[in-house]
This record gives sequence, structure tokens and C-alpha cells, in this order.
Amino acid sequence: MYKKILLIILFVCIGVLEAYDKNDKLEILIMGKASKYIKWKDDNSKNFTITILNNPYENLFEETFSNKKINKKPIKIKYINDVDELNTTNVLYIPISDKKNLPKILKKIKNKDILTVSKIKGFAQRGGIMQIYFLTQKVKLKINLNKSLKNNLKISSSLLKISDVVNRGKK
Amino acid sequence: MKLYYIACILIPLLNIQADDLNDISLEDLLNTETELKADVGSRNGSRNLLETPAPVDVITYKQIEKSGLTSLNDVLRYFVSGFNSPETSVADGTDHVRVFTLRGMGSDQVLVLINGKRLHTSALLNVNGTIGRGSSNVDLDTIAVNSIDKIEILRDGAAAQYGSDAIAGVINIILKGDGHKNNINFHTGIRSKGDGKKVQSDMFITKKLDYDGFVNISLMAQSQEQTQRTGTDVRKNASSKLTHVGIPDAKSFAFVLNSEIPLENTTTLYANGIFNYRDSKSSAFSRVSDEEHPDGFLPIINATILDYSATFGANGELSNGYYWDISNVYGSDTIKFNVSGSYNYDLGTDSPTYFNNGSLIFIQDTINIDIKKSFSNIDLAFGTEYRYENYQIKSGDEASYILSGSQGFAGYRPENETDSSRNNYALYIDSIYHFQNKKISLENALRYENYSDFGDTTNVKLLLTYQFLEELFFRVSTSTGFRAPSLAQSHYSHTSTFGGLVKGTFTPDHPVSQAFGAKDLKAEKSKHFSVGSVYHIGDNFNMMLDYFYTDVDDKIVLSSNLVATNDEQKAVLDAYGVSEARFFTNALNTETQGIDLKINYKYLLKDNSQLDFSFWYNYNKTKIVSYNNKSSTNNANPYEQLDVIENGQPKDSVHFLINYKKNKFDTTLNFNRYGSYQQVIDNQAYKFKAQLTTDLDISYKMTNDIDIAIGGNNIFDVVPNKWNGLVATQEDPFYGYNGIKPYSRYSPFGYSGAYYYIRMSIKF
Repeated sequence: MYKKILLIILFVCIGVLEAYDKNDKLEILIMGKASKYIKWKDDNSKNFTITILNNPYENLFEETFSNKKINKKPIKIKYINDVDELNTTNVLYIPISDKKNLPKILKKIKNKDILTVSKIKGFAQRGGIMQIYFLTQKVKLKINLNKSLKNNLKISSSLLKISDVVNRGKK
Repeated sequence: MKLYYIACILIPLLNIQADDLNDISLEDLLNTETELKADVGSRNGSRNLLETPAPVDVITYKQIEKSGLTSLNDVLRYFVSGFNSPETSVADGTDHVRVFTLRGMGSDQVLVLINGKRLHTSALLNVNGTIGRGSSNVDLDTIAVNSIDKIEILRDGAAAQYGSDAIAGVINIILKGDGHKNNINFHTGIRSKGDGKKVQSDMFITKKLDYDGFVNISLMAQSQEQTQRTGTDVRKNASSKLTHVGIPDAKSFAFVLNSEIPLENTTTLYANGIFNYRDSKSSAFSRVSDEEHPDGFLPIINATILDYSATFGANGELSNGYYWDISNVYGSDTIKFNVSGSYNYDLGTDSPTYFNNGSLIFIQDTINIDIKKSFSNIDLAFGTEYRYENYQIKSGDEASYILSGSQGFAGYRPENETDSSRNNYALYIDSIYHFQNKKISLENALRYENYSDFGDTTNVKLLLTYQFLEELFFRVSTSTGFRAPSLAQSHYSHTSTFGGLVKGTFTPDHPVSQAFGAKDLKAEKSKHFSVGSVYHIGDNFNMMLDYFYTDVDDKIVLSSNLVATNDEQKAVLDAYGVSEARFFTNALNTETQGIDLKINYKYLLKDNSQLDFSFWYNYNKTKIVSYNNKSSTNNANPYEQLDVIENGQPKDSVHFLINYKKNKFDTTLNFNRYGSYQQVIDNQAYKFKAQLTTDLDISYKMTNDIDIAIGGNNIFDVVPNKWNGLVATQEDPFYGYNGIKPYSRYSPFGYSGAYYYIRMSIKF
């Protein structure tokens, strides 16, 4: 009996150690890792700030980036419910639920040094910079190069190489 | 004690496979396989496969490619335990449109969707003694396999969500969307006996549009030669032309379109279309020689099938956050029958040998409006549906039906002609309420439906899920459901002559049927209950165990051939020139229960190769619990009609699939065990034992874009046992281990034996 109980506890504990929602976690991790391939012009801030608009993932951003650094800076997570609340940030994450507000959001941050990231369909072509999308059970990246240049972001060629690039070189 | 030690060894091995995603590079993250999501079973968006409130399975296009299969029926049979799709022969139209069932239930108790929208059924009504007798099902072989991105199978009653037919489950076929490469494929193969040669080529072309839109086109052409597994024709004066017992000769062409056109605002226009043309030939029993036909003759039944559907729709989001979707799906299936190499005996030397026997047509047009919105703890969806259906029978040439009619398959008569329509509308609402940080969720669905022919019905579904731990998930579902009588069941009629007897199938409102007590058909009513759990460790191990129970009241069956038992019945039969009659009736109440156990395990080896294991066991048992109108089934040969429902399909089945990938090689091995079943002939049940078949596919990547593969299905050439103790005689020559049909037509894996193939795929 004792061993049966131990067996159950063993199963449960091992499971708990490995628990996460993989697709959401992948999306957030890829956003963070891809940011390391990007340079922000004149960025003198102490922290690397990621702002989440209408957070769809509860505390997954904090869990993922806890004690992590991007470009040698500690990561700071900010949550906002309206783009009007946006202050200085390196990254703005826009959830799918804000698709209808996308023109307003992009207008608000036009030409600011902000990397916009979203899963919204057609995001890169609609004026966003980094689109994360799921295809054939893989995560893919689509980058609007023209827009990134306008926002004074320098994206490394190695990131562009593994991404689908739209609006290449039309500054 | 032993279990404990085995577990202590295995658990750490399982755990090693769970990668820490934080520590891997961006390139590797982009190559990581994501979790499978399923849309079916809820109107509130796709859900992780391991967190669905009712059991859902997903078959991906990659798995389909590795199976080497070219028919959707075969794909589902290969992957899904409890999916049954026999390959029957000498059963008229049923030879050409394969029957399929889920969990041992009826073939018309499964709803099929394309991209989440209802697909029309075949115009064919199965009226012979096959699995699925008395029902019409979707013709799955109209869909080119290369057009499919994934197949979602909901194993739960869902009529409260989707309407009629979703009693045993729902199959949702998702067509390839954005992100697939152009490809062209060649496949050819042959049976171990040297017949059944198949040649198929198909291609997939995609064109990207703005904002991740796309237009995809799939084309498929296939030529399938017949197989011949007949036994001996022991009749005196037997024809030298042998009855075709095996899969039919068929040539088919399919075209599939799938497109999404996102506009600049939030609106997306979408369209898909499926077109299939199939020319299929099988035989009736051969006719013995006589004075006029000294060599005897073999009637060939030719079904020309034209099936298409077209979907147009749009979706988008309003400024207040409401998501909307409006669509129209038009579908049509036409089966034209011809018989060649036959005679109408009564026309003597004036008889033609080629007959136009008439045609069957089914049309369905569905309009949907769906609305959904997420609030803080509630996901809400509601909508309305309008559907129009039309069923037609067109008569054949006069020579095909007058007097004894064309041998093999008599033509439809003018009095059989029908052009019957009905419409229905539905209102529905689905909601999900999340409790306690989404650990508990309660989902409910309510659907009201009104049919112009049989009235209205309201159905409800409740689903409760509890995330006990991140990796241990419990689910309970209970619902009511219904299946509307098909237009074919209400309006089909046909008269034919066999063995000198004139037999007729009559509509329930026909005077002949009324004389036997027939009543207007009403809907089948069902009740469902399922309880299950999902356990997973990381990405590499998951296990699902579910119990299900379905109770169906007023199941519609085609009665046995009834003979007159009183003067009134005799007078009516005489008036219509028939000696036996049958009709559709709400005759039975059934109960089906069983379990599904599914285990998936992925093991990454140190040399970077990968082993995937998938084990699936299904047990189902259907029992007739009571009869509503026993007089319609207790004459002629009642035991056969009833036994097929309880024992005609395997009660259990197992699939054990192993995939091994190393370098440029990708090998898939699939073991299939089909449980025993039985068929009744002349009130005697003959048992067919459980069998194990094996499939193998070995592919080699020549370049990044070119794969070649060899493989086989049922590679050890297993065939069912022949009739045990049933001897074919001159008086009864058709069934028997030594007869024209040595195998049961219920065999869940056919009787054509091994099939070996080569295939090549080029991506560009």
C-alpha cells in the first residue's frame, strides 16, 4: 500500500515539475529570444521593458521572464489595458483580441522605437513589425522590415534569415 | 510490486524527454513541435487536444502522408479504433459508396463537417444486407486526401451543438490552409494476388494573398482496378463469367478549393469547394446459362457519381468585440446507375444488354449565422441555421424495370420517382463558464430545431471539466440528441425481382406499408453520458481513458421483407403486383456503451532519432433493449436484421502505431487488431474470428523536397476466415466456404488481402 501511494505521488510530482501550456509559452519565449537579435537606437534605459496590452496569459509573461535578461538588461513587464496608457517600452505585445483596435494602436506608436509583436493574422502586412504564427505544428516568424527601419530598430541578418520577411527594403 | 519497480524505471525515462524550453536556441524553438489544437466540440475556439471536455482525436496531414493511404475511409480506419469501414461487394450501390461507422453504431449517426460546416450525405440509401443497412452516410471518398490539413474526431454525442446525426460522433475535416508547400505526388500499388492495381497522382497548389490569405487548389486522379476473391460457383450451368467479389473497378477525379481572403479591416471572406466524379463498376451475382444465354452472363452495375459542395462565407469582429460568421454551404450528390452485360428475361431476344436504371439525387443547402464573445469568465456563442434538403429519384429506361427488369439491378420505375423537399431551422446557444482560475469549467449547449416534416426538438448538453493537476484532467459529459429521418428513408421506393419473387421497398405512407402497420417516421432520440480523464507528462507522454454510454430510442431500420399474413395485406400486395414488401420504421431502442483507451509516447534517442508510439483500444457493445413495432422485423429473416446491429461489427479493436525517424529515413509500422464479429445466414449465426493486420511504410528523403517510399497495407496478406460450416449448395450457392462469396461482407478489413505500393512526393 505504501509503495502504491509513493508511486502515485511520484507520478504527480514529476508531472508538476514539467507543467506548462506549451504553445503560449513558446510564443512568449520566441518573442523574448527574437528580441535579442534586435538593437534599439539610443536606448539608455536600465531595464528592457515589455508592455502587454490586455494581457491574455495571466502570469505567464512574468513566469517566463523571471530573472532573465535581454541585451544584458533585466526584463521589466508592464501591463496596460489601453494603448493610451503606453509609456516608454522596448516591446509592445498586442493580443489577438485587439485585432479590431490595431489601426488605432499602430497609429498611436507610429515611428516610435517600439517592437510590436502579435499573433494577429496579417499583422506584419498591416503595419506591425513581428508576427508570430503557428503553421503545420511549428511556430513561424514574419517580420515587416520596412516598418522596423522606420521604428529605428536594427534587426540582425541571422533573425531575418529564419523569418519570413515582408516589405523588405522600402524605407 | 513488479508494477512499482517498472514504474520507477520508466518514469525517469519519461521525464528526461521533457525539454526545458528556456534553455534552447531560437532556431530550435522554431523547430519545436507545437501542441495540437482542435476546433470541433465547441463554438468557442480551438482548444488544446489534452484539455477538451469530450474526447477528441486529431490526425494530421503528416500522419496521413506516412500512412501511404489514398482513401479517407482507409485513413480513418488506420488511425481510429472503433471506426469501421468494410469493403463490401455484390451489394448494388453500397459497393460504390463505402459505409463507415463509429463505436459500432449506425452509419447515419456520424456527422461530417468540412472546416466546421456540415457536409451533405450521399444520395445512396443502403438497402442490402450490409453494415449500415437502411441508412445513408457521407461519401468520404469524395474528398482528396492531399487537400486535408487535419481530421478532428469528436467521440461524443453532439446533436445539441451541431444538430441532427451527431449521435456517435463528429468528424471535422480541416482543409489545408496557409503555409503548406506546393506538392505533387505519385502512388501506385498492387495486391499480392496480382490484381487490384491502383495508380494515383495528385497535386496541391497554393497562392499566398495579402494579410496571410491564400487560395489552395488540390487535384487528384485515381484508377483502381477490381480485386477478385470469389469462390466456386457450384450451380448447374454456372456461367464462366465469375461474380466479382472484391473491391470495384473505379476511376475518379477530385478537385478541392480552399481560400481565405482577409480584407483590410477585420473581415475575412472565405470559400471552399469539393468536386468529385467517380465511375465505379461492380457486379451482381452471375446468371446461369440457359437456352437464350448459353454462356450465362454477368450483370455489371455501373455507378456514376457526381458529388460537389461549395461554401461561401465571411467572418469578422464588431467594434464591441463580438465575433461573427455567416456562411452558405450548398452540396449535391448524384448517383446514376447503368447496368451492362445484362438482360431483361421477359423481353426475350428483344432485350437490350445495356440499361439506364435511373438515378438518385440529394441536395442540401445550409445557411449559418454564428456570433461569439468572451467575457471575463464566460465564453458565449449563439447562432441560427437554416437548411433546405431535396431528394430525388429519377426513373430508368422502360426496359430496365418492366416485367422482370434488368437482371442484377432493376431500374427505378416512374412510380418510384420522387422530388421531395423539406427545410428546417435551428436556434442554438453555447456557453462556457470558467471557475477557480479556469481549473473547473462548465460548458452547456442548447439547440432548438424545427423540421417541416416531423416537427421540432430541443436538445441540451452539459460538460464539466476539472483540471485536478496541470497534467491530470477529468471530464464528464451528458447530453440529449436526435437524428432526423433522412428524406431517403421517408421517400425511397424500389421494386425488383429476385429468384422469381417480386419484392418492393415502399415509403411509409404507401398503402402497402400502411397495410403492415407503417407509421410516419419520427426522429431518433438519444441520450449520452461519458466520463474520462487525460493524463500527460510534458510533451512526450499522454493517456486518455473514456467511458461512453449512448441510448437511442426509435432507431429507424428497414424492415425485413414481409409477406401477407391476412387477406387485407394479400389484397394490397396483389394490387401492387408484389409478393413481399418492406419499409422504414422506428422499430428499435438500442443501448451502446464502451471505453476508449489511448496512449501516446514520444521518445527522443541520443543519436537525435525519434520514436513515437501510439496505442488505441476501443471496446463497444450495442444491445437492442426493446422493440416498438416488432411485426415489422419479426417476419422473413428477423434474426439477421437484428443480429447485425448487435454483433455485425467488431466489439473491440486495437491500433498500435510505431514511427521511427532517423536521418533521412522515416518508418511507420501499424498493427491493427479487429475483434470478432458474426453474420447470420438462414437464421444461423456464423462467427468470424479476430484478426491482426500489419501496415508498413518506409520513406527516404532524397532531397529536402523529394521523398520516395515503399510500403504495404496488410503486408502479411491476412484474410478473414471463410464461413465456418456453411456449405454452398446448388440450391443456395451464394454463401459458404466453398461458395461464390466465401467471406463475410461484414469483414472490417475487407478480403482482398495484402496491398503493396511505392509512392513519391515532390515539394516545390
